[in-house]
Amino acid sequence: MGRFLVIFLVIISLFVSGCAQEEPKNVVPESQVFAGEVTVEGTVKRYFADSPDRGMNMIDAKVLLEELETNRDQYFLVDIRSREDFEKGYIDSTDLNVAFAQVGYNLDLLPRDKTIVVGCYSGQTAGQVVAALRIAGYDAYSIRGGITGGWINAGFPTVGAPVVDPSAESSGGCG
Amino acid sequence: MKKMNRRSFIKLSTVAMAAASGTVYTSKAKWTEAASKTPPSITRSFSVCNSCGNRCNIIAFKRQGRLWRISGNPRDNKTGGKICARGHAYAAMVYDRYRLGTPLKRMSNGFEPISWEQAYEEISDKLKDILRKNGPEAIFWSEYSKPISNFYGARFMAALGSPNWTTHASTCFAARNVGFNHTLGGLPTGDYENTKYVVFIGRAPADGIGTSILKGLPMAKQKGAKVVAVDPRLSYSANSLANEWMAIRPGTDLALLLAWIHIMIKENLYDREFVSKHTVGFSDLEAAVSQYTPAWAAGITGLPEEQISRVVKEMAAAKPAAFVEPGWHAAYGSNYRNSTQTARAIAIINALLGNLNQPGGLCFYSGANLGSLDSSRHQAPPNSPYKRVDGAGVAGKYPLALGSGLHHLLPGLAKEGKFKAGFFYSINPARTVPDREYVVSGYKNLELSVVIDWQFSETAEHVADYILPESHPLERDGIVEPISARMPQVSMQSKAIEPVHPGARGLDRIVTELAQAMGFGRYFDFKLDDLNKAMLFPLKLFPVHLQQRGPQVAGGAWDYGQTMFRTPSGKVELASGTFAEHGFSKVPIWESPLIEPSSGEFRIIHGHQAYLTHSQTINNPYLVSIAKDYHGEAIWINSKKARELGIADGSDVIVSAKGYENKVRCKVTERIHPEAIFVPAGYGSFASKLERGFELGISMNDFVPHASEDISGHAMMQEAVVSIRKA
Ligand code: SF4
Repeated sequence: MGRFLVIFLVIISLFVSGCAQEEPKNVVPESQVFAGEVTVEGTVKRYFADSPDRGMNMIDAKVLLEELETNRDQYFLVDIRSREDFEKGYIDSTDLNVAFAQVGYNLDLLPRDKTIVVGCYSGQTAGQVVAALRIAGYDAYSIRGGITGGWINAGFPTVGAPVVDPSAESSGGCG
Repeated sequence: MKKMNRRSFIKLSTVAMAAASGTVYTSKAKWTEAASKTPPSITRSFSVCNSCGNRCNIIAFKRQGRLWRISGNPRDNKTGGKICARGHAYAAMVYDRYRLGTPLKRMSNGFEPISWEQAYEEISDKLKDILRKNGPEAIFWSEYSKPISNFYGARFMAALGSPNWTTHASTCFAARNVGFNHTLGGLPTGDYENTKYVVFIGRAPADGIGTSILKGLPMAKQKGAKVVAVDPRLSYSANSLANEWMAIRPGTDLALLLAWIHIMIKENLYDREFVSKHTVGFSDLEAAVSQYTPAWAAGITGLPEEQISRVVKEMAAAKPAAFVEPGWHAAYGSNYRNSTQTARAIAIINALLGNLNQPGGLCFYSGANLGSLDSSRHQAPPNSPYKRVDGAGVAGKYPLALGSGLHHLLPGLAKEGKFKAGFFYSINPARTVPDREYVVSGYKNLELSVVIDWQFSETAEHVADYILPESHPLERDGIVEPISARMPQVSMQSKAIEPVHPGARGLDRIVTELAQAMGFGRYFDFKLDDLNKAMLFPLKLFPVHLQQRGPQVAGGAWDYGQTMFRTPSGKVELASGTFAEHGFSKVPIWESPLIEPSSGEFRIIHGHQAYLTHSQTINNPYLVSIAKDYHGEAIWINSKKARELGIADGSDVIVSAKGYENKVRCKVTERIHPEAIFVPAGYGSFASKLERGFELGISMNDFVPHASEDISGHAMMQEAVVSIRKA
């Protein structure tokens, strides 16, 4: 009897803590279900089949500029250039700067309810990131020609590292 | 327009609530039913508790669109993942029917709901008028210090040209900070976890919760550390954490500390090497304290001479892993005429112990190196050319007071006509500043008073012309905030649920829109997200890191050993040249409290309870029911004195002081000094709209006269005596 009670309590506590820790499942969107099957192969097939209709998953710098001005909240802008180059001049509304090789470790930072726009130097590495993200179920585009080749070359504005002031007197509240 | 009474207010709130959620559940029961039918979709957000100044990191879980529960965040280096009852109870307030959901305007017969547009238009018209007639000095901002308002409130005042950005410091920790700043160059934190000996002067860290203390001290105690509580009252904290209670006469801590310094020097118990290398003014100190013998201190403090000598010797034997805790409001944050010098004496003892930046001592942990908005892209308002009207930092007034001002002086200045408009953000001076009559009648002279809060308060009900509803912290993103600890971190409140009241707004938005209405929009041409990005830039982090992962490490780990101090000399100033320059004693010397109880009178002392925060929790149904169930409102009186007065435990007593009296339940106990009565803070509400706790208990602020101390300018909140009689 006592043992059952213990087991019961263990199960209950697992259930309770299990619920608490539960995260939203990575459900593959319906659009990626190909021939009724959700497989990597199917998703890849769908990626290739659909990409031409989406302009090869690229967005022109000019279109991006306009979109950022009007629909800022719908986009999540990722700059995959090196930190050094990023600091020299980046698009003001950048949401994340992460090197190409680190993208995989930072998938948790990428929103599934926004359009992810990836920018690199010339568009080549961003294109690879976009392909991987799309297969992983994100809605992603790369900046045509990259941030350097597309955006900066077009003369669109970038900003540099902000001037850092020493922070003001802090006066915390009390417990 | 129709006058708003409580019924229509609640109706309005309910409509707002329904409109807010994507799927509309007309009752909690409907939601429960829906939630039981669909598989649980649980999401988690990282936020920060706003229920007190600790700002613990929390994790908010949302289920089926509703806030389901919150927990502490184990990644928070200051809390280790523990949160308190107030944290849970405050989170639950997001659905409370007493929340404010629409701007309100005072009419002759009560408050009336108005639109944001009308509120902005009328407030900015009035402000422009005051700016024209009286200039920007006639406007102040008063806040309970929070990261969001430290930025937006201060910038708003600067945009208007006003020098009067003010926080609650002068009724909280002002004396402590001024004393420490002019001795050690800042306020250190205890290395609680590694200490061997700690003395608390009046601080009760499990009553007025100090998270890093509660996290670290039990570990130290397990390793054998000793804790001493110097306090006229054996608080619940002292009862559970301390090994020894020194039942000192209230207001005489300075005498004890001076005797300790005397003994340390006379008996060569101090760290000679540290003192010779890293301090200035030792000979002045030595000369000044030569008269303060343990026998002398025993006479003043009422403590046994043996205890006075033994405790300091034990502490010195444990140095450098020993410290006198820097305190908060406690005994000398803003309580007595001698409080600033008391703070200096505490800082000095710690220097004599050589414990600064030593394991188990007091440490100046580094905070995160945050960035700021690039002023070449976002024009910063110039600093006001005017002097602060409250005199903080002003020669001839309170030159050594903190830059965050002296908010308890504002009502008097309003009465004198020096202030015409005031903003009150998340602060309730009508209840939390001494002398209700002085505060309320003073502020009533303002031509414009604007309260920004999520609920009613005494200040909202009795002072405000306009009340602007702030959204609940769980409904919005916050500003990046640093957590200084051995491993510094940054954290941020991120939105956990859709707004229950879409009519309520975040402070960033309110200030930005108000500035735009005033024609100062150029100083607010950015969003909170842009500001957060700029603040995080040097750390190579983005808001999304904090939103998705919670608090993040910010910079390298701090290490022991640093010996540079941010004082004019770069050393610990045992004697302060700055104090001398302004006519104050350069070393602490004995000064008695301003007011002494005569026979039949009691000094009124106050303190926190772990389940209430200032005056803002008195309408929280969960917390106030704890208070009611356990008679938290009861004042404490010493058993011997109670016997003399014929007062029984649990009976009602009348507490009276000049011209005012009130009835309250009393707790008769050995745990308080016979000269004092203890009045818990957070009670005595006189805002009828806070129905659940209205008129429960009493507030010390009804018995404490308005006053200011000379050095740091604080409100001297325990310089008051009362009489007690049976009800
Ligand atoms: S101590 Fe309690 S009320 Fe204060 S911030 Fe932490 S959880 Fe919130």
